[in-house]
Amino acid sequence: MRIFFIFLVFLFFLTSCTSDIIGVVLKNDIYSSRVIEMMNDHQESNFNLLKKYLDEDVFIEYSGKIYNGKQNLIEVWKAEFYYFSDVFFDKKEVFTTFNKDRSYTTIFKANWNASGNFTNNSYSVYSFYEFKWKYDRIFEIHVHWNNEPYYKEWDKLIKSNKYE
Amino acid sequence: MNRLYFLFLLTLISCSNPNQMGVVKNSDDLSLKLTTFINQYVDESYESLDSIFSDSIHINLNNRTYNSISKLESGLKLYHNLYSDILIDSQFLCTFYLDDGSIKTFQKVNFITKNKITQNVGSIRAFFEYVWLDGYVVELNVVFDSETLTKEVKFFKSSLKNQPIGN
Repeated sequence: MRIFFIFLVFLFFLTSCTSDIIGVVLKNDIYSSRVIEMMNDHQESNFNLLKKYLDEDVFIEYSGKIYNGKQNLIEVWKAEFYYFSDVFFDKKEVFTTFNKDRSYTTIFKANWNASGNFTNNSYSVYSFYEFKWKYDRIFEIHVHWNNEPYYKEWDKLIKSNKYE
Repeated sequence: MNRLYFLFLLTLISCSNPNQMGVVKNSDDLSLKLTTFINQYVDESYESLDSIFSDSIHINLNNRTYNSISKLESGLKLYHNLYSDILIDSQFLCTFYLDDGSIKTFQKVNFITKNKITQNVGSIRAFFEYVWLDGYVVELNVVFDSETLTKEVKFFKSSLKNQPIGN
């Protein structure tokens, strides 16, 4: 009877959780709050919180372009304010998943809005950010968006320098 | 009998978490449908389109909006007019089932492309967000860096201009 009961417990555990689940979406978690705060600071060109949570060897993929290291990433994000002003995010959506490998991923989705410093164009770009956490630090960031605003600003900058 | 009640309670507790608001899957029916769709697309097959996408689908492609499945199909065909080969280098996708009933799939695909005229080989890393309702995708957001595509279109247009007329 005891063996049968142990077998039953084992069987229940085995079948009770669906096997195709690779993670759970968390409610009111600390990682989402941190990312919201970081992205709010980003609008103000403030990177203190980002510096606090970035791993020294962070890896970032920016629509296929790769950057490595904390300092490089901060320089890239600071450079945004050379080309753009009035940066703000709207239609924000954020959530964090706890993955099967025991890591955490925070997804931040928003429309990135800004004014071009060289063209005076207004931009609104759908953007998707993935922050991967390990030991309370961000070790990987993936950003998916269309770099078109950058190309337009570079183009204007190059043309204006050429004919000065 | 008490043991059976205990077992039932244990099972209930083991899978529920008050701090969660949904689950993530990658081998469920919806994820598999989209994997099939993208694999068929590179082979220029559009047969699964009607069974996945709603007729009045709302499409946001790099912040340009379109409505209807026919726009989606003509848009998809456009890339095959430009490229002789479209291959998948890598892809990742997962579907989020939230407790409020909403379902979303995120898909990242790295395409390798070969221009039909110039034979130029390039890569496009695209991100797709699918919003599901009643078993159909009702909203599709696609984002990718348009630089490569813009260059390819320019190559394509200029090569068409330089082509001799007739044989």
